[in-house]
Parts: sequence; C-alpha cells; structure tokens
Amino acid sequence: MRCKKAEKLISRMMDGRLDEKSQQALNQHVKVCPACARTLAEYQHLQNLLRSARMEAEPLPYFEERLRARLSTATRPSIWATVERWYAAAVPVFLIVATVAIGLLFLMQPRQPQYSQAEMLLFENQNPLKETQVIFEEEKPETRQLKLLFAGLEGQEIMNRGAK
Amino acid sequence: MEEIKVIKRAQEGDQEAFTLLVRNYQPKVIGLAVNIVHNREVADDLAQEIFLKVYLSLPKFKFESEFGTWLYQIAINHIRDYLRKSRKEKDDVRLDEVPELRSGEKDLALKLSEQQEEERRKELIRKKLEELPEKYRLILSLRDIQGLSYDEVGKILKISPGTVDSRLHRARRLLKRKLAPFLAPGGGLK
Repeated sequence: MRCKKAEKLISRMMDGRLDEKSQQALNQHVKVCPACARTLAEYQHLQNLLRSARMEAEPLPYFEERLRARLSTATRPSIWATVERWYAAAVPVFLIVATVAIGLLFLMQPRQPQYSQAEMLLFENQNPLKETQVIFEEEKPETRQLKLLFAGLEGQEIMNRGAK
Repeated sequence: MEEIKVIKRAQEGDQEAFTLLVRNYQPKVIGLAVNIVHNREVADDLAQEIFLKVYLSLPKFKFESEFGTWLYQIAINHIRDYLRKSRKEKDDVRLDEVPELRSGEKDLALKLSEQQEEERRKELIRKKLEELPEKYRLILSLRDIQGLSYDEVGKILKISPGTVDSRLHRARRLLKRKLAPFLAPGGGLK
C-alpha cells in the first residue's frame, strides 16, 4: 500500500467508514511504515484537538425577546403580495400588448377606396362627359374655344389643389 | 407536541409555536455559528438573523427534508455570506488579537497554568481553522467539531457522500500541515 492511499484510509477510519479488509490492510501498512504510524497518531491528536476546541455558547441575554421584537417588524410575503407583484408587472405588459394590437387593427382595416370625380359621377348615374359634350355642342367656334380654355384652366386648378 | 404540528402552526403564523422551534434549535444554531466565527457576540447576532430568515421562509418549507437539515442549510448559507462579507471588509481584527506562537514561548508555556495552556491551545486551533478556505472550515466545523453525521453533512452542504469524504480528507490534511510545527510527536502541542 502506498503512503498516500494510507493517509486517505486513515481519514476515513477517523469517521468509522473503513471496511474490515481496508482496515486490515491499513494496520499492516502502519506496522511497517513509521511515517504512516506517525501520520495516524497526528490525525488522532488532531481529532482530539478539534473536539477540545469546540466552543459551547449560551445565547446572550434576552435572545427570545430580541428575536420577538425583530419578528414583529418583519412581514412574511403573503399570497396577496405575490399577486400584487405579478399584477404590477402585468399592467405595463398589458398596456404594451393592447397598444400594439390596436395599432395592428388600425393598419389592417380595409381602406375606403378613393374615387375620381368621373368615377363618382358614374356611380351617381351621371355622365362624366356631359359638361364636355355641352361645350362641343356650341355652334360658335369662338364660344367653344373659350369654354374649352376655361374648362382646361378649371381642370388645371382642380389638379393643383389635389396635389397640395 | 409533535414537531410537525409545531412547524405547521408556526407556518400559519403562530409565534408561540415558532418560539418553541427557536428554543429547540437555538443551541445548535448558536453552536454552529460560534464554532465557525469564534466570537460570541457575532454568533448571537447571526443566530438572530438566521431565525428571522427561517421565520420568513417557513411557508416555503414543504416537509421534503428534515426540518433540522433545512434550518441548518439556511444557517450555513447565512454564515457563509457573513464570512464573505467580513473577508471583503477586512474587519477580521480578531485574528490580530490571537498571539502567534513563537519558539521562545515554549518555555514560558510550560510555566503557565494548565488552564491557560488549554486556552492557548484552543485559540491556536481556532486561528488555524480560520486560515483554511471557507469550504474546508465549514466541513470541519460540521463534522469534527459539531459531530454531525456524514449523511447530515452531505445534506446540509448539498454534496454527495463521495465529496464529503474527499473534502473532509483534504481539510484535515491541510489543517494537520498548518498545525504540524505545533504537533508534538507524543501528542498535543509542542
């Protein structure tokens, strides 16, 4: 047996955790190894010293009274406190989720189609070319030219307003 | 009254029942604390804080382990926190109060009364224990000083029996080395 292993077995022996076979092997080794015999004696001394170094301590006066005073100011975390803590965390989360949901609903809502004036007139069962037709029905070419010019200017103005 | 009933009553907020638990476990908790910090006032204060923690955590105790083991786990964790904080703050002035053993003291020690010699020896062991890394200091305190069983030590420190075995061996070997200059061949201190 090697001395290193013997030292481990000595430590285990101190706790009464050595099986018979290992105990016999250790005993035989210690008989022929003065270093391990000394180690064994040192471990035994060490254990006695540790036991003797044990401090017996009585509590300081009024231990229970002092503790009771501390307990009266300490509050146990109740179920309600846990619920409140969860609630406090849940409110901002709910607000964020609600804002995102409303935003998504708003964005996904089908938009009203925008119709041109001509389309609007068609929906209202009116002829969008009616005004133009009136211009072309003018007999005098000067009047026709003037009306076309004004209609053109008017159309231009409407388009400009739409662009703004 | 059975301990389980007392615990259940204490869990419901019965302070008298909790006081009964404190009375039962107070010697063990203070004993554990004082044998690690080696200061009665600090140990008393730690014990107060430990019982306060136990009181606040009591609703979480589900009877899945022994109440004593659960309480010891809280105590060890609290003491461990204290050791880390005190190491950080470097306020461990107590070590300076322990006189170093010099060779010249050997002759003087012989002249001291038996009681003084005994005290000096205890102080030296405590000082050397304080020099050990925290995990070794705790396991030696639980097993070799408090005399708790292997099983209890494993449960309290949440380590396997194999780890208890190897950690104890390393702790004892290290302490033995630290005390080697003071260990006389025939036993005791030089």
